[in-house]
Amino acid sequence: MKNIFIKTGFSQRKNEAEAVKEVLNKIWQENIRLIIFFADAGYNQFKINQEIKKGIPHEVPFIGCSSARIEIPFMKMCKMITSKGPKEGIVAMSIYSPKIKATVKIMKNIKDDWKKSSSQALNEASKDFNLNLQNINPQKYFGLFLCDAASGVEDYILENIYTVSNLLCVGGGSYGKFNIWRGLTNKIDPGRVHIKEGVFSDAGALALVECEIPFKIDLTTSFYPTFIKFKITKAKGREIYEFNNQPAAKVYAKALGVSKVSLGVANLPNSRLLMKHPLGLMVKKRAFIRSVMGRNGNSITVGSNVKEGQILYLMKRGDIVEKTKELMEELKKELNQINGMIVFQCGYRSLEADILGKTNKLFRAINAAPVIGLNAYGEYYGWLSMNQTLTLLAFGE
Amino acid sequence: MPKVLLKKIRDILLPFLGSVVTDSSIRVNCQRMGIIYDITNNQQLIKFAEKLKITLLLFLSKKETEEITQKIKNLKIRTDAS
Repeated sequence: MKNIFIKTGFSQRKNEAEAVKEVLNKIWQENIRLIIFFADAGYNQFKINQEIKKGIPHEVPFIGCSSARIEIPFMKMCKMITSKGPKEGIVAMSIYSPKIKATVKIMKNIKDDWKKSSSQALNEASKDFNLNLQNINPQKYFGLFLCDAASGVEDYILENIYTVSNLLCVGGGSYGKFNIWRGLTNKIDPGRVHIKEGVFSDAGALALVECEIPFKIDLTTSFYPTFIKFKITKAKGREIYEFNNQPAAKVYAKALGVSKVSLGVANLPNSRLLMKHPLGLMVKKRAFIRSVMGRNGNSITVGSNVKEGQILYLMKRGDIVEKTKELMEELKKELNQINGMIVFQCGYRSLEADILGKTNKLFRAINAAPVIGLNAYGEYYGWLSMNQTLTLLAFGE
Repeated sequence: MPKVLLKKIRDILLPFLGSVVTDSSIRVNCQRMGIIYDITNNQQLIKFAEKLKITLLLFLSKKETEEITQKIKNLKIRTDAS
């Protein structure tokens, strides 16, 4: 007998009420234990939240977020992963299983208060399940974490969750709209996270899920290390000031064989060039990608936290489709059957597939089960955040 | 935490993870892999090994992780009572 029932759906309607109605109709089933959704940042997120609440019974927990909408000349990253391929709009998943329970908590004001807020959310969630945080069995529980990426504190929150508990998370960064005008005027549109209490920016949402069905949190990236490596000698958070005691922008540009100016500037980076040459934090053979997001004078900004003393490798692009297929094969072997997946795909990965004309092949590789995916601005795995990666949660049988 | 024990843990991890630093935490390429809290008895050592196992599963295969966990658990801490 089947232990888990997963339904997915999407809507491309522009009107929030109509879009939510359509998507809820598609995912509706009895006794839903959790709803997860991602909504294009072009929607009014407040209206989306209101309509979701109107459309489902009060006792059904849900977690969701806005999905980045980035439109600059020659670059458009707006599509989420749906069961019919990458689409703009809203995508959702409902899960029913007698063996799954979920509780969703909010972390507010995270820029200033990430530690208190994340510890509190975790404590409240664990109380709902009468759990001792230090004894959480990561083979029975996982955290689904969505965070406003504009806050820039995801790394700290993830590490705090790991410090105070045994919980491992999967998730991704939410972002708002970005276009050339916003770039020039430095107007940041933050990501918004949704829970029953409302929709919030400068916030994170955590779903603590008790799951007695086999599941797996995993990741893949198509990048592999070159022989060029840099030692970080001066850095703070996501800003790298020096590699090997020299200005980081100069060293990085030289390694690419371009001038420093070619990297672009902070608000208008040369993304096409930068996305081809990310940096990788290697732990044995596993790469945790730090995308170069832009140049700030002589320093460079990366998409996840780094530390002084770390060695970062200049990475080289591999075959995005083949690497994804390999991951899916491994998952199938391990879980025997994949019943559903929530994926967090970096916007840059989608763009890379578009540029290389591999969007359909990449989707076919991912589409191994009912699937929804966020156009993520930062991907989370365990207690680490990274970029240009696909992280995922897969349910077995 | 006895320095000898730290060294033993480091020696176990080294072949699997490459350059490993152990002080107040275990770090590989400066990335924290696990927290070393004060381990003074075997029960704490086992608890530590279990927490480390969760971390290692993110980086290594199940087989490698099990091997490391077992090796750490097998380290015996000499206490006055023993």
